[in-house]
Amino acid sequence: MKHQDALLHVRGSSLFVDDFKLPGDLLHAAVLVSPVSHGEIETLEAGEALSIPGVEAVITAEDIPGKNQIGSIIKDETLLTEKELHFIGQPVAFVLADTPEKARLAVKAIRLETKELPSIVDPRAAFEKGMLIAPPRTFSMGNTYVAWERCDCIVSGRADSGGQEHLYLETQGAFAVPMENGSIRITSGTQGPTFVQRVAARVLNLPMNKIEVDVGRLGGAFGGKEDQATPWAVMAALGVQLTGKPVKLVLNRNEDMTLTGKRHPYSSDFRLGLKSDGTMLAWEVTYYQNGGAASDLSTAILERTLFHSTNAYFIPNVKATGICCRTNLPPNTAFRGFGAPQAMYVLESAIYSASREMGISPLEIQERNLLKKGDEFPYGMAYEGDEIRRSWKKALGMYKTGKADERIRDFNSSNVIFKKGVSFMPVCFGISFTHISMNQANALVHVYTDGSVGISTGAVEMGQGVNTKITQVAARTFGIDLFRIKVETTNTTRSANTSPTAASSAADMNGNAVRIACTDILKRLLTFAAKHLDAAEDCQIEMMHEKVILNGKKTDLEWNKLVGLAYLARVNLSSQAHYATPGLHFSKSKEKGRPFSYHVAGTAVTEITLDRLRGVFSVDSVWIVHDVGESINSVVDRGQVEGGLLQGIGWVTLEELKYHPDTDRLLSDSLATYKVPDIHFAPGEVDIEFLACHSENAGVYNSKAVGEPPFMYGIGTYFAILEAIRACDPEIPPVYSAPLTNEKILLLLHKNR
Amino acid sequence: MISFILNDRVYTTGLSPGAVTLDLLRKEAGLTGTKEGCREGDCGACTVLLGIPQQQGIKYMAVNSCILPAGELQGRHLVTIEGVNLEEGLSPLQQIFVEEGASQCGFCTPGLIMSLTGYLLGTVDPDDVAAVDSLAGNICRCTGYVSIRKAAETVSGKIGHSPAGCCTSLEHLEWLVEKKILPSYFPGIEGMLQAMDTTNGSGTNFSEHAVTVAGGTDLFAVKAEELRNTGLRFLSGEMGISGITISESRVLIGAGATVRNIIDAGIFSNSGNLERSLELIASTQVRNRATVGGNIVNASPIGDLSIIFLALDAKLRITGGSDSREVRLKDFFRGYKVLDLSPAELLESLEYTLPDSATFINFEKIAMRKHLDIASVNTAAAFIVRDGKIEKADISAGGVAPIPLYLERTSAALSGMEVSTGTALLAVRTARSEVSPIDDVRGSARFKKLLLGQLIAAHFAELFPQEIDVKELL
Repeated sequence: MKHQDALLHVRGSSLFVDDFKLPGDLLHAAVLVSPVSHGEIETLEAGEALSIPGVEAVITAEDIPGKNQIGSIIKDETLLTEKELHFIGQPVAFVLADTPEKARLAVKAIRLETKELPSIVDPRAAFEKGMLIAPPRTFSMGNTYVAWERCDCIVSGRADSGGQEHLYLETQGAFAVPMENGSIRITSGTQGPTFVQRVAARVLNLPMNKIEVDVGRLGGAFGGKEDQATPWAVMAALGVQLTGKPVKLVLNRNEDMTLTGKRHPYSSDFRLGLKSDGTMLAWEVTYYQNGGAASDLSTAILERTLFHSTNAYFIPNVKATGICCRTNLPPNTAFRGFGAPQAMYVLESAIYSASREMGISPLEIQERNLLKKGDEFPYGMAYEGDEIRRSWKKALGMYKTGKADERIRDFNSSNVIFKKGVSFMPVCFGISFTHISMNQANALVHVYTDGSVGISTGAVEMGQGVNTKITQVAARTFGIDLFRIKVETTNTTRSANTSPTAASSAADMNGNAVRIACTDILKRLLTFAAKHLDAAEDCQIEMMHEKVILNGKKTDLEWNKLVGLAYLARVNLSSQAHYATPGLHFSKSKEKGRPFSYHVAGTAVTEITLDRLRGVFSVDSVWIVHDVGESINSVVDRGQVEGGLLQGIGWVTLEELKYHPDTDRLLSDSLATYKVPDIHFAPGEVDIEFLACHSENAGVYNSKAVGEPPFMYGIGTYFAILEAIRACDPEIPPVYSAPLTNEKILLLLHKNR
Repeated sequence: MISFILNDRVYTTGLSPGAVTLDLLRKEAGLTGTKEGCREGDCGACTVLLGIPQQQGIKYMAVNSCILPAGELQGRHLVTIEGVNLEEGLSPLQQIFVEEGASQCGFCTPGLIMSLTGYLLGTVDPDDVAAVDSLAGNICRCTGYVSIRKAAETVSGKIGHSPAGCCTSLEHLEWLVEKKILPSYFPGIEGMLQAMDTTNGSGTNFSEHAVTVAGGTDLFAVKAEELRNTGLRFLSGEMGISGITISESRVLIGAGATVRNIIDAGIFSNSGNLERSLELIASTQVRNRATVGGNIVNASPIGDLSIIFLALDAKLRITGGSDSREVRLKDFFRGYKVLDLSPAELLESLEYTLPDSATFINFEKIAMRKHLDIASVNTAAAFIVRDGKIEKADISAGGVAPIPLYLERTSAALSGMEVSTGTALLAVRTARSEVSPIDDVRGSARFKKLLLGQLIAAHFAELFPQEIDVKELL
């Protein structure tokens, strides 16, 4: 089955936030933000802005009727600052006007005078000054202190990874319209409609039932609209509350890039101890996470970093510490992988470093230490699968069968300017929200009297194909054709108290809730059908291909007819169901438990060619063996793997956030200065093989989550480039500072010039 | 008032000529299939087709509507995604996108469909590689491009060759209609355009303070807001400045010639890697609009065409009122965005000597991303070599000075030198000592200086692989 939304997309007829036709009295909002990374407001004077014809209002913190607080985990972020300025782009006020141009003009006309204070943008410097968002946490297993003595080789060092702009093609935006009796309906480009509802209610001082949030679809999100879609939606709602008119707020690209947080930059110290045969014995790592100016989701992201500090490997003695540092950057936020890529990158750096120290291939160390079934993670859970080793074996087999090793050796010895490098990247990613209570979802299913079906869940469609999968789950559960099923918008009046569409888990959880709801309705229908067909009480009755099958025999009773008859017989044709992922527990005091429902694993083999003269590279091929369980939709899953991979490659090579050294202003604030992969940058060849599924897991119909894990295959490109650099000159010391840009590569290759 | 055909009907707008087409479409015409992604021509989400009447037929090309001023629409055919939809069902192109999973969140999808449709309109002989290349100006953040590439390759294979002799012909349009790539109204557009009264167009009357717009691909990327209500003079409406003439030994390029025109004219077919290098300039959409004159007068220190024509030792023809004068390109740039051009003057054309068989030419460009990016450093070199000796060298470099730089000392130092590794190293050393780049978002000064040396070495490695020991240049 094809991606259902694509049928509209290719005709340009799918509606995004900025595409809706809105009433003529619509007001447009534009936001005034802090021009300094740290300081205080001294003067805020809006008289001139208000005098511009068409400008309706300038709204500041004083106008907020409820709590001026948009924080999620820790309540440390205002919607509009009252005095203190903590980052460039921090909202100070917003203007409502009859056109977006006038609103932006009025923003410029507001007189904002500030006092500047010293800023910190480096997480280590913030740590030195005690600027922490939360107390450090440590995950440990075994005893590293004792283990160091048994190691034959110990490497230590520092690894840094940069931030990453989400660059969802649709910028942040929302509009809100007044409803009767003080209620407000918000249409938001958010991954978390309930979060928008909760915060809007808090800020507007309304009960949650007076705020309705509706989400049609998002033009990409990747985590960037989990928490950070909220302020714009809340501002729009506040504008409605204060003016009684509909309000729209859509950021332009430059605003979006400047105002919103990104993937967290990390700076980490590592120490890895190994036996002479490559067995890893001890692993100590400290992650300095650049949280930005407010907590946002940083603590949860850091927690996932700690959960993934050993990636796909078993290391018996581990001590991993995460420090969430407060700096004067926009609050960094969720981004595909949610802290795990940063952790995996550090460990791969350490493994690479050890391989160079010991004079063996990184592959040897990697392979020797891959998790086996029953091996324990530092957080107390045992690895329950066998997919890591199976995927590795398969990938290695492909590599060896293709004689890639030989081919690359020949290439490198016969080429002067061009050198090839290869890397293996195993990935093991835990599935579930690590905040246990978030692992719940609900579904509301209506069967209409004509046999058509409407489904509402908390899942938000943002390109990942969740609605397509939900359609398939419903059709499969009911035993009916796909065309009957419509997945409705995600709406808080139909799906309440939902978790954001995040953590790769939306299809799993919402799909399971849909399965339960459909099963419930089907049971009622079949009970009725049995009675209608005068079947015995112990009969076997089911629905297949739209027909009732009684004791293995097709009957004349079709879905449509059955539904119509059941309605007349006053059978309930709707169901609301709830799903809570089973078996999860975690103790934060012990840092042990079973936080994940299952793990997703796989292995990528990356081959790159480096142009030694010019210091540039291209990715020739990536072969991936990936575990999707029993895929519900292979086109959708393949697309997730391909897309995640390229974002990961972008993160470690091309995508570089640059800030002004004196003012902390983001310099890479447009698509002209922040480059993401284009069609020519993408690997020449991407081969994906799905691993055969051998086990049971909690994914719906035994499928597995697919959104985030493939991102981390991209890390392989970094180490393939290091291998190609080594082929140029083994004396060049490797660097562990992502992204490995063209500039860094050239300066590495020609250090002496 | 600006009158043009929007999809299948005549459309008249009172918007100012400086308003961008994207806003006209989304806010005035209510056509929201065209998406706003970046507003600076860097993502392609807003790609539309602009059909320009030719002596015979209409020439269609993909352009970014976010940097296309409405004044340019006068008397032309503007096609949006809504305008390529069939009345019922999907076109084969749309169908293949669905089949291949080439659309995920869908925000970039209409732009991709338009770019590919533009490609199919612009060729009678589609092939895989060119179809994929036509998408270099479209950013997708979801798919990883594997499925998009496959879709582009599949469609070009599936559709086959057009029986038409020329892609601007009616026959070609009819063929595309038959293949269901286009809806049935397309062949009637030429007649509709002819029936329109286009004499009253804005953009033809301009005051002396009007801002001159050639392709506008930089102007409207950088300051569209400012230009919205400014008087504009659209050079594209003025006859006779976009022609390209190749005589026996000279090439004359009108300042209004677009990069696409240069590609179509094939002027670089015997000029080393220049022809191939043109694809490193911007994107399909931008190349369809950006002009030679604009690139030069814009005076960007990394302007790719400026760098190329500096090495070709081009001369500029400048007119102003009754006067007309000539200036060598290398003397034209006086300082950062300062030109040897008075406000009353206009760059009319550029001329250079057609390289002979003794001339060796090479262009190198390194940016953060290979395609659709502004160079960190770019450089071009032209060597006249006889009997193993460099008679004359012209080497230029961008990104290393406030202007597109002619490397005076390096070029001079090479004159009379033997083609050898030693000479190459001399060129590298001299070039590096001749420039003083600055730190900016495209790289540190140290990097750019190093990079220039590497690219100078690359000129020699590319042009004289037999005479040079590349190992010595690494």
